[in-house]
Amino acid sequence: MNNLQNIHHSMPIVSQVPILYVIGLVLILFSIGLIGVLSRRNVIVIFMSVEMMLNSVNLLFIAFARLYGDLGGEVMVFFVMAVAAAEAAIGLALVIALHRNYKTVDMAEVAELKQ
Amino acid sequence: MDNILLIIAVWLPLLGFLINGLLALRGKPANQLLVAVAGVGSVAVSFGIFVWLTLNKQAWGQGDAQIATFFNWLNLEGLQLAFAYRFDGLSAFMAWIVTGIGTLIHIYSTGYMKEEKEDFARFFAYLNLFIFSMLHLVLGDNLALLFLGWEGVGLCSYLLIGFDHHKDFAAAAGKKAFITNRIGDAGFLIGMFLLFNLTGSLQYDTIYLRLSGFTDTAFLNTVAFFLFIGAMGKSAQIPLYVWLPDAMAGPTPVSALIHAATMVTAGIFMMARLAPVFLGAPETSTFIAFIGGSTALFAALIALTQTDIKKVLAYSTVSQLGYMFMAMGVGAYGAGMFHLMTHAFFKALLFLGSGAVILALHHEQDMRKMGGLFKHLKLLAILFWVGAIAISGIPGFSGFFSKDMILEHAYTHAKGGKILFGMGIVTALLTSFYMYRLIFLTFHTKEDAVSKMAHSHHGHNHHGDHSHHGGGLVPLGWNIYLPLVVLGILSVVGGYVGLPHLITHETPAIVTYFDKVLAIPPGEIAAGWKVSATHAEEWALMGGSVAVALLGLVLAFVIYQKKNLLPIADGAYRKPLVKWSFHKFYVDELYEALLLNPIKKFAFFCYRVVDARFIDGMVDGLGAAATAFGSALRRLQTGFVGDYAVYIVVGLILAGFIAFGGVK
Amino acid sequence: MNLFSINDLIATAPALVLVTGAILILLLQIVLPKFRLQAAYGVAIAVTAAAILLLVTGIPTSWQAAGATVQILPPIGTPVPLTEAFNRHVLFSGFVSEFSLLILIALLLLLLNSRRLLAELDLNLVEAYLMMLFSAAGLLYFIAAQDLITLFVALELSSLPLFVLAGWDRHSKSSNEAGIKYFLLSVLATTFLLLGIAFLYGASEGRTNLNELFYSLSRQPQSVRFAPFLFGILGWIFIYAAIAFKTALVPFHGWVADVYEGSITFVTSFMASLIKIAAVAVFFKLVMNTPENHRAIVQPVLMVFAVGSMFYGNLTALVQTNLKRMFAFSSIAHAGYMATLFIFPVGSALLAEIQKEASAALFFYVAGYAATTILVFTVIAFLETGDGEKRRITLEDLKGLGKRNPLAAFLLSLGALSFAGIPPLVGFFGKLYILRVLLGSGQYILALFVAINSLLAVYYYARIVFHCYWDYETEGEKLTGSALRSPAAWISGMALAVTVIGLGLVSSPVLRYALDAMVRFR
Repeated sequence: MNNLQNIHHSMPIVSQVPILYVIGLVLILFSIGLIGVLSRRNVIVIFMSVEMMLNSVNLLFIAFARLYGDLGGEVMVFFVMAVAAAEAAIGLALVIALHRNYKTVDMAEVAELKQ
Repeated sequence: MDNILLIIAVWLPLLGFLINGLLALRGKPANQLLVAVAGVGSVAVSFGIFVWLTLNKQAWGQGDAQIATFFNWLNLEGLQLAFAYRFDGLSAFMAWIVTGIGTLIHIYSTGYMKEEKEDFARFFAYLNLFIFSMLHLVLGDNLALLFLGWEGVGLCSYLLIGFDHHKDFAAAAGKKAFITNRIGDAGFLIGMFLLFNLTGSLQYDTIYLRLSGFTDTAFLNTVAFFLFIGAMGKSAQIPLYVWLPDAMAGPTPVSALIHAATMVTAGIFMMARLAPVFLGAPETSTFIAFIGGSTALFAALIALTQTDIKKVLAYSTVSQLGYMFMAMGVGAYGAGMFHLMTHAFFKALLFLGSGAVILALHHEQDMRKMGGLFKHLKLLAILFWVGAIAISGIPGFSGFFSKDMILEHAYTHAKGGKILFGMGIVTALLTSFYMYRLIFLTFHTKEDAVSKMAHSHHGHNHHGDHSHHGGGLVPLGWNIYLPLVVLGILSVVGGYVGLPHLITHETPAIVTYFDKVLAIPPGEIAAGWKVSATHAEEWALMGGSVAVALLGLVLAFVIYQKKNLLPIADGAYRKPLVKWSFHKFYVDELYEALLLNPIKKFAFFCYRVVDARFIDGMVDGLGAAATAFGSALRRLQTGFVGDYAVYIVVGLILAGFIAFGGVK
Repeated sequence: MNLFSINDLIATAPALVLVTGAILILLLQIVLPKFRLQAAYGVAIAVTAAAILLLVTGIPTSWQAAGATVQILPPIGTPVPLTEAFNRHVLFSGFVSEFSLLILIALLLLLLNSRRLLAELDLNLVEAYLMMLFSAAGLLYFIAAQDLITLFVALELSSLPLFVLAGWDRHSKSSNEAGIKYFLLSVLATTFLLLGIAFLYGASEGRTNLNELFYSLSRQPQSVRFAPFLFGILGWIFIYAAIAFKTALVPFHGWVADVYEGSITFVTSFMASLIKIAAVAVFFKLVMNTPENHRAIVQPVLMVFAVGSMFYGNLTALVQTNLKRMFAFSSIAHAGYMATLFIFPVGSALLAEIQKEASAALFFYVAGYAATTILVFTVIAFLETGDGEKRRITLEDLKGLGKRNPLAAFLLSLGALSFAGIPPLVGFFGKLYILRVLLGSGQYILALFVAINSLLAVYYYARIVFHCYWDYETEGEKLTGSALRSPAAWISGMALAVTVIGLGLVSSPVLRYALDAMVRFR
């Protein structure tokens, strides 16, 4: 409890919303994504979960950028979005090839290389 | 200029190795002429350069060493190592032997191996690599280069022993040599590190300098002991000699070059090179002399009853190496090196000669199936006689001079000299006997091997390659005879550099030479090592050694020529000593019983290390625990991506705990 | 803030040349209907050679430092001047130059093999060269990145083509599986990288430049009660984890064995060499840029990664029978050895000196590792493709190889012996220099772990050699494999063998070069 208060005091406030709340939101979103990655077996769902994690990080960048009045964070968000788009393109191509060979997108079944 | 020549001479054999290696790697039979030119040429030119350098050299004393630095290998704080070569009296002597006899044996091999179409280039590649390593061993200016060469010749030895890897025993022999030598190498490394610890350098001049005032006998005894363990392995002394007889699985030129003339003498050379260490260690030196004496006697006993012509020569080599160690142990460095040289001549001659016999008889190695070859191979038989006379110590031939010098020094040794002499003289008798036995069985007894052979070969052609020669002898070319003749001449005249002082009333030339050359402070040996002997005693010694040599000849003649006795079939001996000798005193079995079995009981995995299944055994045994861990860990690799993601997350959480664990 | 100028382009010329080559291949393919593989192969090799030339002559870096005068061939050993470009987003130093050189040389050697290998697999498409060039360019920027934003973009530039390459054999199930696994885990690692960057960004009041970050963070009090410090630590851990993923350190190693095994061998050797070089270089750079107050806390984590990788890699490799998988696990172990160099004693007065020595040892080790890896995987690739059928090489297949295919057996054994650290091959000296750094900086326990693991590893490497040369009884069909048939492949095979032997023989000068090339590169 003491810790939390300290964080609260040592970080300024983003306009009306305290930065702590934003960080909390980001961590929640990130965790949801992460749990999705860990628990799902469908490639596409896993990939969607990763996208969610990426976007939660974007939110964090924006929050910090606003906090410090620095453009760097916002620039970063654009890069992340561009890269995520490229990743999606390649990822989906891979998934299509995978489906053609395996007739499934369930990662638990795509596990012939092991041990 | 001379320095550049020296470096070229050392590295030329590598060129031969590269050319032949590349030819061999193509995987099809290479042009034999090209291989021979590259293989023989590189060694011969290197020999020529050594001759030239020797002729050019002004003085041979201490401090006159020519040192050529090729490049700095390691240049770290506290450890400087250079690829530097040292051309001094000792290394010049060895370089002559290595490249000189090396050239002859390379020439011989062009004849001996010509049937091995596919492996011809590979064989010469290994031989060249061996010469290259051996030159590093003898010419390197520091112990690290010596060790590099030491390992290099070892590697070539295994490769060449296992050259015919179709034969199971060849591969097994290669492994046996590998393991035995590892034990020796471990000792050598420990000795080397101790020496480095003491002197702070591996470079010879620095070692000599730091040792000159050092008198801690206990420490030097320890160093010398560990270094000698290395020599035991490489030079086949009790108890690490077991690999050498098995090493005869390799082609005969290899036995001549590596397992008789050069590599196995590396231990002797090392002792001469580090003479100041061994001179500072009188107790270890005496120990070495006794190990040498016992090995000489023991191996000669085994040689008495062997029926494989190469095995006889192999045990004979072990025995002669024992002589050399006896000489080194009593401080007679000149005598030891002298015997090294004469032995290189006559043993190379005998091995190559036996190779010629084997080749002529379609790869037959069993002496019981030989006999009567004299009328078919007159020149070869004469050369063989020369070699046998030389090794048995009949006056006028080289072996007599060197062996006599060793026996004399043994006799005058302060500690146990008489016993050493006794071992030596009995060995001399045995040597003479088994050598003439070999000669009679092979060349003389009435049975005619050639006609017998023709008979049996019609029955079954188990040597498919050679069957087209019919039943007769395989003809031997000039390239077989030329090296034999040269070695024959050397076996006769090689001894005259060491005429005994009884005759000339001077110190023998070779002894003067080595006293000057080796890093031995003058007068060092006299102090406490020697007792004096009267002239009469010395004449008696010489007379005794001549007498036993003749006795051996007579005995062999009576038993094998007159009575025409043939060695009986395997294991049929009844008299215990003969039986034991035939079974090599059950040493291999003894090792099994004394060493292997108890260890097997105590620690299962140790046994596996020495197991024939060597490396698999090591993994199974020593690594049993590791393998178990490995098998457990590989289960983590489930193949499911989700699990891998879990590892990442778990890793991160763990990282968090580790990082913040130490923070308030 | 100045806009970018021509100088910026010149400074990154080697990478730009690669990108230009890639785009050229793309364009020529569209414009010329008869554009052939041969031409793409030629272009790829030409631009790589050109990039090496640019780097060796030092033109790009000396351009700015020496004004307009171009300084050709600065003598080896002189420190390369620090050159910044793109508004301090990339920075060239001796450290960056030497690792870039390593990457380009490795790329050249791989390309020399590529045509033959891809042709044997019937996978010889123009785009393969495109992908390799883009990826290598990305790696060059990755090493040179001085700003976390650039670092991220460069990493992606190098990774995206690799996803495609990993799954290059569209019709093969295992290649497919390798591609998708690599993709999913890589993307996951990227999110951690971004989270880490975001945390550091927040902790340092809006900084992404490594240099600024260092000074900003080093002023923080070392207490988790101070939130920015806490964020900083978390940021470093996440970033390290992402780079450790690329370096193949435990516990981020999951993908390594599966992807190495599943990808076509040519791509495997690309991943195992180029990616590893870049990843350890960047890892080292990041550790160097972690201020001491943060490093003191994060360092134990690195130690666990390093030691865990050594043991995990070696122990698991011990029980592998598939050759590619064995080398995959051994590559984890080697990453572990290298990672011990990322650990410096905290609060040492000699830190700068230790770091200099460590960077040189790292350079030497990874150079030797990359050469040996390419050698080994090239041989495996040729063995796989020789019989016309694609197949997995197991240890059993190697029995008697020394007889049937002497060249392949020789090269493979050479590689295995070097990996095992047998003197005088390069692998021995790599380990020797690592041990020297560790002992010199008083980290005896780590040195002990390295020594134990070196012994452990000898077992499975020696097994390869013994199978090749001493074991002759084989059952079933015998593997022969193609000799390295094309001249280019032969050249690269021999060049690698010479490197593996030669780097060992002349290790001292190379190490000295690496030491001299180090200038302050924070």
